[in-house]
Parts: sequence; structure tokens; C-alpha cells
Amino acid sequence: MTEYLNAYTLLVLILILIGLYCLISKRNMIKMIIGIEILSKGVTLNFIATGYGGIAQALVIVVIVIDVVIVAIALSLIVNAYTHHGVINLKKLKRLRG
Amino acid sequence: MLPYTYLLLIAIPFIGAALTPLVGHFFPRAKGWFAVACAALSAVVVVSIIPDVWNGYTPGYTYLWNDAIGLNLTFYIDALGLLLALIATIIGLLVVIYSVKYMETDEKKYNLSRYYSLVLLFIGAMVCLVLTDNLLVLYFFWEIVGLCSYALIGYYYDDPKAAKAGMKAFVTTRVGDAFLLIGIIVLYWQTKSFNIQEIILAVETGSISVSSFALPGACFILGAIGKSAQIPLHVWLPDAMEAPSPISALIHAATMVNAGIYLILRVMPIFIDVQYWLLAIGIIGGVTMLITAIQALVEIDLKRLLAYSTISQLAYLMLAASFGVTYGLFSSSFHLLVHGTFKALLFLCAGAIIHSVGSRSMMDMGGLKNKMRYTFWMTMFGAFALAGIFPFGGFWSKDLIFASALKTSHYLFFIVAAFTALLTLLYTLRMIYLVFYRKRDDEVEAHDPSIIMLVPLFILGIGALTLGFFEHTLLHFFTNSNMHVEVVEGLEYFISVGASITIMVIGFLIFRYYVHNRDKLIALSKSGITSSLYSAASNGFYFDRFYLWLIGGLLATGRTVYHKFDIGATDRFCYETVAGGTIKLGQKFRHAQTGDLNYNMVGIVIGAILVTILIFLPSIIDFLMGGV
Repeated sequence: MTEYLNAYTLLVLILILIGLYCLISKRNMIKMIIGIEILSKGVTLNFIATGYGGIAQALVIVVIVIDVVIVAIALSLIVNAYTHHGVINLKKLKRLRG
Repeated sequence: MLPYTYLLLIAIPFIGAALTPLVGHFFPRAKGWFAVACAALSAVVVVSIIPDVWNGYTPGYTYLWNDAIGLNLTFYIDALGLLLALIATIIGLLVVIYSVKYMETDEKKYNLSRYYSLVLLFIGAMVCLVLTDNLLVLYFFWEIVGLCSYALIGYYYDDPKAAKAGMKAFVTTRVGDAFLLIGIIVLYWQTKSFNIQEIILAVETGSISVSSFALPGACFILGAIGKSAQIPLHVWLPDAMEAPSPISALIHAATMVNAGIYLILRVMPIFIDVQYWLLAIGIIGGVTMLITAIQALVEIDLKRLLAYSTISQLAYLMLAASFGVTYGLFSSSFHLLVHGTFKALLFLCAGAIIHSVGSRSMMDMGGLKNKMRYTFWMTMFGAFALAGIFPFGGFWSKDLIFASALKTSHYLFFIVAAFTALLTLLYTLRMIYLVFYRKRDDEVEAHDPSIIMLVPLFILGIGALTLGFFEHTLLHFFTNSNMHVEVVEGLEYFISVGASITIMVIGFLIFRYYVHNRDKLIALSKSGITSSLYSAASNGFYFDRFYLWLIGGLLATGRTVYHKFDIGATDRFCYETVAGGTIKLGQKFRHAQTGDLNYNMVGIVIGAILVTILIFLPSIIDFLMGGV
């Protein structure tokens, strides 16, 4: 297990933890998206750090593209939620609860 | 025989039935005459076969349909089938002509396309039923005629009585039909063939033992008594009189009810050696003719009276069939022809009277003799033929049955048939008296029908008068198509004629007494032991009540099973245990779904950590162990 313990892995761990913390603690949806992005950047870095050769790089490019798509869709949802309800705070959107 | 006869036999009525609504849509006034044209063409095709059969051919044709299972459209035309096909098409034609005027008033309320379409379908199915040689095809057309009967009994669909009568007819005949199907399948299982002629050949050459034919034989009898309205499945025919009168004449007097007798006569060579088979037919016929003749004596509804009379006369055919191939088959067929003619005539006359008077009860009629002169005479022709008065058709055909009974030593059947002939004479005279002669205080408005309705009456009247003289012509047909039939001549015949004349004299004497002492007799029917007999007879000897009790019991049992098992057990398990349990479980887990994203996120993270630990558990254990 010791072979995993290097600077890259440490940075990956830090990024993932920051992302998770952000998702758990923040109520603002924009901030949560930033959290998702940090989380996914951690995962991406993990790929780069541990994988070698063409397949890892190709996968990373795909992940980045999907990230962008996620952000685009999530932002459009947020904009819509804001135009309909005037808030971007999750606590105040809780009446959507099923 | 015309070219393409077999194709035309099927095509003309069935295509006509399909086209009638179309014609009715574009030319509403022409649809009746279109149906007349179709019926006439069918009649021409069937008549064109006569010379072939007369010259001793039995035309046959097989259209291979599904040979692997023996389901082929096979035609086999002999004298018996041709006779029934002729009755179906010619009486069918006359009835359709009669209907053009008779049903005219119903055009507005009930679309007549349905009526003519069903009548043509019926004629086509009946012709195919009697000309086919394949039992499965026969069963197929057997069901089609049953369907037409049901639909036409319930023709006045907004009358609950008619709708119920149609249902009753359908359900009652269904009992027989189910048995017939079982019989056909069992027979196929035993002989590996659906072709009647093949089976007959196998039985006659002795390649198949008849010892195992008891079950299919009984099933065929049950099928026949369902269709031909014999006891105990006769209850549907009197109620079927809710149909329009031409339908009663065509389906419930002249053709469809003969299908059962036809079946018996057709399969007789197969089952003739089965023990008690003929005796069972004879007993059913004998019991039926007596009971229904008594019911006809006390009936006051004109059409129901004729229906009871039909059942009674059909019982004569059954009884005659029980005398075996040599003497029974021909006397039965001959009476079938004569009865079909005069009973159709009587029903059409009754239709004209009811149409004019506006009621079916004979209590609303009376003194119609001078108001409906032509109808009166035609009814007299039909009634005399029914009562067996010289020289009308019924005299000759009944004498032949009596003589056949004596020749084959069925003396008890002879006595029953002769006594029923006396009852027949009595109820016929009573009917004539009540409708035409009885003096009334008030006047009944009535008039003869128009010429279109009278022409079929005249043709059938001439038939009722003269058909009795064509006995030997018909015999020639039968002997020429490989049937070993004979007519009885000599001593037995003279005894029968003597018996008929005696019955006639006694009948007229009793009737004279009845007319002069009618009030006394009516009083007698309301007191003492005669009153219970009277009420038994007028209640149909409680057959209906018995069936209601039986079906009521069945329904109650079914309802109990439904409540106890279906609702009590199945529903409770499915709805309450399975579905209810799932809902309750869901309610419990519902609290976990907070809708709070951060809360869910915590769950996800915990889950992810657990999965990570699980994946790395071996490595961690290794690491810790290695550390030690």
C-alpha cells in the first residue's frame, strides 16, 4: 500500500476531500457545483497520476468533456430554479421534496 | 348440375348476406328484393342438383383444407341432404318474399339489413350443413345456424322478453352442441376420420368394432335433441316464438329444428348396432310427442301452440327414426318434408293473423272466418295436413309412420303415436275454432294481407295438399342414392289407415262435445284433480321451473365459492398481504428520504468510504500484519 503514498496521491486526496466537504456543507447551489468540479478534478488528477499511456489520457479527455456537460446542465437547472423561485439556496427549495 | 355448383352453393347466400347491408345503405327500398334474388338463386342452384340425384349419382367434391387433421370441405350430396337443402332454400325463398311485406313496418325502428342478412346467412349455412360430409364442417355450420337463430329470436332487441328468449335458446341448445362436439371428437379418436361416409364404410365392412360407440352415440343423440327441441332440452322453442313470424316459420318450424333429426338419420348407419341407441331415440320421441301435445291442448298463445305442435311433430320424426334404416329413415324423411311445408304454412298464416289482429293470444281472436277469407282457407289446409286428414300430406306421412311401427313390431310406439295423433287433431280443431269460428260479443278488426304475403301462402298450401301423393317419387330418390329403404305396404298399411280414420272420427266427436259444452269444460279445468293437471300442462310440466331451480342452485353455489374462495382467500392474500405489506414497508422507509441534498451527500460519502474500505480491506490487513 505504501507505493500509493506520494505527492500526487496526497494532492488527489486533498482535492476529493475539499470537494466532498463543499458538497456536504454548502447550501448555495453554485458553490455545490464548484464542489463537484473540484471533486472531479481530483479524480482526473488521480487518472493522470496512476495511469500511463494513451488510454488514460483519452479517458481523461472524455472525463473533462463530460464535466463540462454536467456543469452546463446543472447551471441551466440553477438558472431555471432561480427564475421560477427567486432563490438558489437549497434549504429554501425544500418544498419540492416528494 | 350447374358448373361450379359447389362454389355457388356457398358463395351466393354468404356473399348475399355480406352485401345486404351495403345494398340497404345505398338503396334502402331494394334490400328486401335483393335478399329475394339471392334466395332465389340459391334455390335454383340446389334445384339444379335434382336430376343428378334422380339418375342415381351422389355428387361429391373435396376441397382439401387441412388434410393433416382431416378438416376438409367435403360435399356429399345424396337424397337425404338434398331434401333438406331443397326445404331450406325453397321455404327460405318463400319466407323472404313474405318478409318483404311483413317486416315493412319495422324498417324505421329496426334496420332490416340485419334481418335479411341473417336470413341469407342462415339459408347458406343450412344448405352447407346438410350437404357436407365432414363432421367438423357440419359442426361449424351447425353453430352458424344456432347463431342465426339466437340473433333472430332476439331481433326486437329492445324487448327484454325477446332478448331473454334468444339467450335461453342459445344456452339450451349449447348444452346439446357441447355434447355433439364431444361426440365428434370421440368418434374421430376411435375411427381416425371425420368423413361420415368413410366411417359408415368402415363400420359396414366390419373393420371397426361398434362396441365402443356407446359414448359418441349418446353424445350425438344429446346434440340432436338440443337442436330439435326434444325433451328434456325442448324448453327453448316455445320461448323462441318472440321472433318475427317468418323466422318462426323458417328456422323454428321448417329447417333448423330439423337439423337434429337430419343428424340422427345421417349417422344412423354408424350407430345402428349400438345397443339401445334406436330405443333411446324412440323413447325420447314418444315421451316428447305426448307431453308437448298435451301442452298444446291448453295453450292460448297462437304461436306457442304452434311451437308445441312443432316439438310434437319433430318427436314423430325421432320416433320414426327409431325404426331403423329400412323402414324408419324414409318415413321420417317423408314426414319431415310434409311437416316442414305445412308448419311453415301455419306459421306464415299465424303471422298474417297476428299482424292483422295485433295480438298473439287466441282470446283476442275469434270470428275471423269471413274477414280473412284467403288466410282462413290456407290455415285450414295447414291444419288439416297437421291433423292428418285425408287427402292432405300429413295423412300419408303419418300413416307411413304408423305402418312402419307395426312392421317393425314397435306396438307400444304405435299406440303412443296414434294417441298423439288424436291429441293433434283435437288441438288443431280447437285452434281453428278459437281463431276463426268462435262467436264474440265485440267485433275484431281484421283483413287479409296483401298479395305479396298471400303468394307464399298459396304455394305452401298447394304443397300441404299435394305433397302426400309424391311418396313414391321421393322413395325413388332415396333408393337411387344407395339407401336401402322401403315403404310398408299390405296389411300393416291398411291397419294404419283404419286407425287414422278411427282417430279422425273419435276426434271430431270429442270436438263436437267440446264446442257444445265449452263452458262446462272450462269450469272443470278450474276444479278438483283436473285443475292440477291443467295447471301442470299450462306451466309446461314444470320443466322451466326445474331448470330455474337447477341453475339457481348452480348460481348460488358459484356465488358461495366466489365469496369464500375468490374474495375471502385469493383477494385477501393478493391485496391485503402482498400489496398491503409492500405499502406498509414503503411507509416505514419513507422517513429516510428527507429531500435534503447535503444529507444525501453525507450518505453517499459514507457509502463511498465503506466501499473503499471493503476494496482495500485485504491490503489494510496485509499492511497491519506486515507491520507486526
